[in-house]
Amino acid sequence: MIQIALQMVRVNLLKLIRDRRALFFMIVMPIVLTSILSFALTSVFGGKGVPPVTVGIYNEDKGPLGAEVRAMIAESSPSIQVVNPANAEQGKEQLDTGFTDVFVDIPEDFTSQISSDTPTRVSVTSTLSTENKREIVESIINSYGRQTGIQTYAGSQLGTNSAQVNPVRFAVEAPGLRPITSGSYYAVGMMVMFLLMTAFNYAVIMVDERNSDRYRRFLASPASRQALCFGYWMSSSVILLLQGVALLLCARYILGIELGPWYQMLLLTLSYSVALAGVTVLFGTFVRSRKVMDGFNGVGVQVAAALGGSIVPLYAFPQTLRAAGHILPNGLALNGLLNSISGISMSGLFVPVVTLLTIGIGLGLVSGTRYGRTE
Amino acid sequence: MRVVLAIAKRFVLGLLKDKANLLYMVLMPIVFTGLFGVLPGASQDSTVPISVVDDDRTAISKAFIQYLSQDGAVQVSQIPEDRAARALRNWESALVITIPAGFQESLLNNHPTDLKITPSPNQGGSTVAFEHSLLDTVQTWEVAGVTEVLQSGGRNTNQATSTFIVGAGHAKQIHSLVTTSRSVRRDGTTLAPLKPGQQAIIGFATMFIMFSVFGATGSILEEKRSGTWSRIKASPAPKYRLLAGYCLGFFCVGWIQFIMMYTIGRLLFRIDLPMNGWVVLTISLYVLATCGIALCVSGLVNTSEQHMGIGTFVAIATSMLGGAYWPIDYEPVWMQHVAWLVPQDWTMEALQVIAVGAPSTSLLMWPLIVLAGFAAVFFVAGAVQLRYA
Repeated sequence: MIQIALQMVRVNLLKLIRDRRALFFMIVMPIVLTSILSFALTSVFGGKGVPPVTVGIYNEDKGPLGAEVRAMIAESSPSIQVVNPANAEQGKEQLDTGFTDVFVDIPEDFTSQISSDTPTRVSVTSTLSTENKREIVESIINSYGRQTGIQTYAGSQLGTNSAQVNPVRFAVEAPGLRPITSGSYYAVGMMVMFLLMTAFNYAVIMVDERNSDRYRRFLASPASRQALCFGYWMSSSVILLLQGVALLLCARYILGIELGPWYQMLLLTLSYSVALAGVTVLFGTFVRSRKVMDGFNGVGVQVAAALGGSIVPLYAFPQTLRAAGHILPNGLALNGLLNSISGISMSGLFVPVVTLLTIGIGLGLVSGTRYGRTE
Repeated sequence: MRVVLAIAKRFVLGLLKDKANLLYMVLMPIVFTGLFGVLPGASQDSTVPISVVDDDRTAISKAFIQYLSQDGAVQVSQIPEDRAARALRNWESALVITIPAGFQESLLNNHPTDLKITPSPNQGGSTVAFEHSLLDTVQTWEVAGVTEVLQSGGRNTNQATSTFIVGAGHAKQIHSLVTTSRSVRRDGTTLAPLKPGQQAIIGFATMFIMFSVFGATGSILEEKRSGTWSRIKASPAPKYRLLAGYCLGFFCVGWIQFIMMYTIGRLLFRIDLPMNGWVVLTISLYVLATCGIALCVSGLVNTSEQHMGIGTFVAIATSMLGGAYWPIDYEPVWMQHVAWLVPQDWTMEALQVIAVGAPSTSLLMWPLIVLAGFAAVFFVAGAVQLRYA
């Protein structure tokens, strides 16, 4: 059985090495997508603070509170740079020419309105391509509004004694975990997704072979059905492992992305490859129609990759969908790999590794008992 | 003209009769728009998860946790201290608040009080704003409670605790005194911002048009393989009419995909996009440019599988670059400039201006000129390549 499996691994590897198109889609495509995602979403992930924002503030207010808002915006982050246009028209012009990202117009009656406990409105303008930066500035102004509301309330209740109230402060503590940057997230995210695609491509090949004469010749050979199924399982495991390792090496040494300890990454990639090999032989054994398999390969893989968090991080999804992501093998593997990057002991990886191996071996065994009998 | 229409009709009907094609053209846009565009921003179930470690375990610390749980912006889970790192690591919590021992005593005596917060290392720049908002929420609750205690004067601890909790219940009376009005500007005109979901529909419409057009142009390779292409070329009809028929077919497929996205957005997700002459012009130029790109690629490959593979890669990579998946200002400035080289960027810019309800010649001139340039260059190159195929 082992010899047959090793022969099948050899044949499939030789076929793969000769197929430059397959190599392009298995290695080059994920690396290009990883680099695009890595650069594009730098500001969304950890390790980076507020992105650079240039804010033009025109303060029409006659009182002191307008200046307070301006100071709060300027001091909230070193990434925020404030410029002072001479008038509102100049402020809008600076925004139009791209000199500023956001323009804030503080109204004339700002102080007087707040002093009379009446909510007032500050106009915040961005361009269509700087709306994200506008939201950052808006959050600072809204925070000022809430703080002013708190002070006004305390003043109305306690009069001159309101200054006695000591507001709670946040003491920020570092979590002691390595941040996951966009590069490291998508290096493992894309690896997990493309391995899933390869696994389903091999399932398609299995279905095609079952509809061909080759399959009948296989079954007529002295090799047992279990040995043939084991050969497919083994081939998929080896190819997926090699693809996973190649992608991680490219990410680490070509793109310069920081990953977790090599032994943890290798262990997780191996367990994930085994789990996917189980999925490959399961679909290759039980699905008979090429069209049905194409449906799984197209829509199914995309949905599974999305739910597993390979395209958009799971934390951006509602709670109910996050749970679904953690059940799927790709979600489980991605989570384990991210844990490894942020720093975790080997014992912490016990559950995902054992679960993935169980899935792979279990599905392989189920498929082995049915392979060749489902016609 | 009859030849042109007959070829286009045969082509489009053949494509639509295939249920697998319909599945990809309808189901995939629904899944993508729902998963990436609508669900992450859905109002329900989109609260920020936080964890609280209660080291004080007093009536006031419990009241504080209850108050946070009732806040619509956060989803609170109480955890033991040793689970804090796991919560932060597994993306379960954006931050962990630790209520220190002595919290109740400190608040009742109006002493300076610090709450320890441990933010997730994975928080990006924009989510830092969440910390400010949370601090305001906490201070609102605390100031409401403390003012009540100060007003009621000195009493024993039990009475002061009850007074604090009653006072903190008035936190909702404290309102923000500053609100913001949003607007966006483009070429000297002030516009309303995009409505939620519009960005997703516009982005994924551009991406799926490219997918569909690549799928359609790939069928030429199938026809070459089966011999249909040679037989059609050998027919007495002039070649330019044959070409026009195929190109009209590809163009219709792109438009059918857009209409599907438009309908899905409107009926399924309740996201409206205007439909007017500007949209027709923008989408037509984009579809032409996409047809040209797909035809050029079809000349470089041998099989429809290779064509679709490269098409998928081109569609996903250029859509990401052009801001179809996320707002383009997430990308660094140099990448936003690289995005000028892909038609999705200009199409999205034009559609965004139209979506905010302010289309005009001056605002749409540049995106449409560039799209027309893309369409002219790629479509002519693609058609010439097809002519000599």
